[in-house]
Amino acid sequence: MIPSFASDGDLPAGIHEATWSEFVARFGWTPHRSELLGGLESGLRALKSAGCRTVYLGGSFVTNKESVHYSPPRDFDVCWDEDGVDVDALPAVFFDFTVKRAAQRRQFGGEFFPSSTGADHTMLFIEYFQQDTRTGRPKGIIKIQLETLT
Amino acid sequence: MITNEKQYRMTRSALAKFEKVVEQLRAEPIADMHPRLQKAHINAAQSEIEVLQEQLAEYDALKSGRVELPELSLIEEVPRALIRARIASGMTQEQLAQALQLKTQQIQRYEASEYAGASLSRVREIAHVLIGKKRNPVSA
Repeated sequence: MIPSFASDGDLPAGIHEATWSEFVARFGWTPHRSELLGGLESGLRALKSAGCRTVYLGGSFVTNKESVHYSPPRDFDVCWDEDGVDVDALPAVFFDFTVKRAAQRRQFGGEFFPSSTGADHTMLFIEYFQQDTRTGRPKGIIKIQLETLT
Repeated sequence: MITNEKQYRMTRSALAKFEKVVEQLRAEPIADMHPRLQKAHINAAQSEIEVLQEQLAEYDALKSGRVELPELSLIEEVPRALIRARIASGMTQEQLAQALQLKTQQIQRYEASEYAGASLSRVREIAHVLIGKKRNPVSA
């Protein structure tokens, strides 16, 4: 169960697990968001095909901020767990971070960052996703097991 | 964007973490990790370093007074611009009201008072509808 948004529009602190359909139902409440979900699904299928099992969703897409001030999410942010991924089978766009991940945004409408549950310093993006540099308070993110993407 | 000193410090701190990661990965690659993935970690961190540096630089430039700010005077023109954009789009006040799920009376009041009392959120919402109408004249 994805918890309700906090009063500032962020999810409560922590990593909240959801299935793909729960995620779509909860975060696709405008046509613009549905469009972003289409691109996200396409990116997640590419990751899944290469063996990725788990992803984390952060950024403005998983907030309710647009109801607080009229500013819909520009894109989505994904952190993908590299455990199990066949690196040579993953499309090149997932390795292109140039110009603020322009190629990824063009192709999918959002950004994809690698994450490893191995050495400490590569956990960085998952931690970073949970930091709100505007308030200093931790914010929640969503975890999706790609087996729920059928 | 960074809007205060506290956010500036937090952004600097995040930047320092990413710079440390890049330094570590370059000095000592992770054992048993595919080289393409090693590079991805470095490049991903590097791209976020650029984003954060840009945010810090923007704040620094604004604080130093080096940036010219012509935008403020445009605020005076916003109410008129909304009315003109609606007329140019071919939408009636009623149609605009419908697009926003408001009563026609509300739009009439807004326009008669040149948007006195309208919240900034409302103004942005209306601008968004009118921009959409401009790009897709068939649907509102």
